Amino acid sequence: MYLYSFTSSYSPLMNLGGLYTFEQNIFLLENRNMSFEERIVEKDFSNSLNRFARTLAMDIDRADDLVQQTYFKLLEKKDQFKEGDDPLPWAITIMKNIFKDSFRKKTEFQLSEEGDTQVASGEEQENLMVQDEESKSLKSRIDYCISKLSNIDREIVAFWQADLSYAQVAESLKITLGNARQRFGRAKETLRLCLEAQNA
Amino acid sequence: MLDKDKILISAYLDGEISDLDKTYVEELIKKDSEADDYLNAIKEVNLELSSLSNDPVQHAMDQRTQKFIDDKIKPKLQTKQTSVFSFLENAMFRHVAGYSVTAALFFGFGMNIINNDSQNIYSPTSSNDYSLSGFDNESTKVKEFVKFRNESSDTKKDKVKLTLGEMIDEKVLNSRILWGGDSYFLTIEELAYKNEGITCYEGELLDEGKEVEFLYCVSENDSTLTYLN
Repeated sequence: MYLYSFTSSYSPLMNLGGLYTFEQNIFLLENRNMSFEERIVEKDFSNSLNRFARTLAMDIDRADDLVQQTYFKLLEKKDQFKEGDDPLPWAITIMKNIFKDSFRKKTEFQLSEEGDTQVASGEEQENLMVQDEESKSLKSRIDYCISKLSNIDREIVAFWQADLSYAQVAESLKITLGNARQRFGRAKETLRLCLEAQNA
Repeated sequence: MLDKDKILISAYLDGEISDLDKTYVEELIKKDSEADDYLNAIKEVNLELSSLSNDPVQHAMDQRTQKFIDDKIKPKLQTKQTSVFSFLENAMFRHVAGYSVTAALFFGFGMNIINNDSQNIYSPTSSNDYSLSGFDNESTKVKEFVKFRNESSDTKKDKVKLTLGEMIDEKVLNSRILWGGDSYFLTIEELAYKNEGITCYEGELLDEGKEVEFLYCVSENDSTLTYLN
């Protein structure tokens, strides 16, 4: 798995005392660790955010919105960022919060509208089931299985898609490494069972 | 099969396993066909997941995001991206301790230079190049800028930078910037560093009664201004 490391084994400031030429010192300083600004516009950073958003939202338009909102929040909060850390786990936490907030608002809206909503009749329920079957056949098997995961498992799969290491996930979720490993194992097992059922 | 083994197999395929557990899993899949089947099934799951990351929908999304970054995000970060001195813009250098770190940095450069006799280098002990000889310390250059309505105060730094560039070209150590109703005083105090086409000056900006120390570095194609306190 991709693991972005901001730590390096050398200390450029220690090397300024005559071991390197001026240009080498400038190079070492500039590459001591990638700045926040440089990192967030990197392609693999944005690709990771895209994959996380798509898996989490299960809707490409919402995923686009999520990524863009996350970027704006990153700029807004960049003073809170600790230089030297990888901003990806932090960006993903921001994205999760944006997603949860929008989901909560949507749920509140649906609940407030519930009084006006009539319970679907038997025929309507049947139509809904047919629609579900149709959408199932339109989606890829894996898309369908991800959509059937619990929120916790889907989040774990989203982390996997974003190429975060188990250690980064553990840090992001404030759980132990062993716990992160268990969650990955269980989410994959659930996906395996779903994919096998699709094949049957 | 034990749940524990399933979890280990999944972690094994992700390369997230200790050497000890790796040996255990490799032996397990050799002797247990059920474990081997499970390993292949999880490989399939991983392949299915990876296929999502490489499908046309994902590629289209990646392109949209890239365009969004180019159009909306990069312009906001432009000043951080272009300068060869961008490292001086880091929070570390803007920090209260920035001055001492910068001093250490230039001490480092100085040591590097002193130790390397083979280069045509500047040595502060062997000449008086660090003095700003030839610069006019008597007169004050006045630089006036029109202040447009809604013009952000963020552009103040650009104006200071522009004025410093002109002061160096004209060899003037003092200047007064007039920007609308605001005025600032700039003084170049010393040559902090000069080598291989890069020259850095230290000085003070008097901004509404507050003294701000700065480091202004200039090369043939670039320049940077860093506030030190």
